[in-house]
Amino acid sequence: MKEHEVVCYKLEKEALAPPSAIAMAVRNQNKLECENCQSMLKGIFCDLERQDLQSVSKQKVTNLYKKGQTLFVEGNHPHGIFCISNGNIKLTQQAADGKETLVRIVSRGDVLGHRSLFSENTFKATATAMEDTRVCFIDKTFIMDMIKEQPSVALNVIEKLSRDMGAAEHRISSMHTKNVRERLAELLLLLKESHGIREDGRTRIDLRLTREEMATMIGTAPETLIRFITEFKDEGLIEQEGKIIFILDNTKLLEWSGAEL
Amino acid sequence: MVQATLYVQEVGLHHIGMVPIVAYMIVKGHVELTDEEGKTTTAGPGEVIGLRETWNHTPLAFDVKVNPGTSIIHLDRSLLGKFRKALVNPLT
Repeated sequence: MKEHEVVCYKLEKEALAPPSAIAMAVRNQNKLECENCQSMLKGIFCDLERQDLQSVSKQKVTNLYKKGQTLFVEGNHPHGIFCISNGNIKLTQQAADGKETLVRIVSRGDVLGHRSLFSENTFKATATAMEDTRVCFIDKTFIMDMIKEQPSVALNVIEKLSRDMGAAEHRISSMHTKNVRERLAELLLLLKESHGIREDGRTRIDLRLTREEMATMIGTAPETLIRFITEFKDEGLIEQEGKIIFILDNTKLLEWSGAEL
Repeated sequence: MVQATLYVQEVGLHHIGMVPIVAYMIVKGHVELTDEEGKTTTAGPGEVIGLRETWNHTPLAFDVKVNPGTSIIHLDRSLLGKFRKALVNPLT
């Protein structure tokens, strides 16, 4: 039997057959409608009409990734884009010596895989769920058709790409022009912006990062990072409860980051 | 365009209990399927993994691991939709 005949045969026999009642129940439990998504207003589809949103909902695959599960691995081929509905995903790269670098953290409303999709390259990083995370997947053909038909989607993707590029350029510049203290202050401000929750006159960073992960984000050794964290605590800029960091003095943190006020 | 992808190293393609994002049609080599009891079976050329699950948005009850030297065609929902359309009404 030829390859395409195998597919057609299987499609006819399996996929076209109505799913069982149990399968339907599971499907309904997993499926997330775009209109009800927590990140609806932050995503690339936020300007779409209801009818178009429904076609995205129909097409996509929704999964709940448990903490530590991978969405894709460095070197994998991209088949589409991943939209984060809730939770956090870390993107890491592994060096030849096995050392892992945390490249970026993506959270709700962000998309993953768009760069590899357009460049036809394999994934340049591994994406791992940092907690239980709900993610939708939309295949390449559908997203390409959508981009051709809906200028708003194309514009939102361009906006995301531009922001990613800006952040990458800023990071390169920081690595060269700022010292570790300034880079740590900058990282804490960024985390406050993306994951900060205001409570009791201070801001809790709602993200559990290990010291190793934080250290790779600012290009230093964990020991150096720990020394500076102690200094930040002693100076009253931050405080810690277990792994949770609280920002106490935003103004001083801005000053320490070397940002122009 | 549908193209086979050659895997040069061992890669986990799918986690047990998740809805597959694409179905996998094996062209060359083989993949390992491990169920929740840890029982492993292999699938080889001509076999399609996760077709019904991808189309019906239901979980696949296996971990899927690809072995080095295996070529796979990935069938996404758009492509399956085109196949379906062709099967239901071949003249359109």
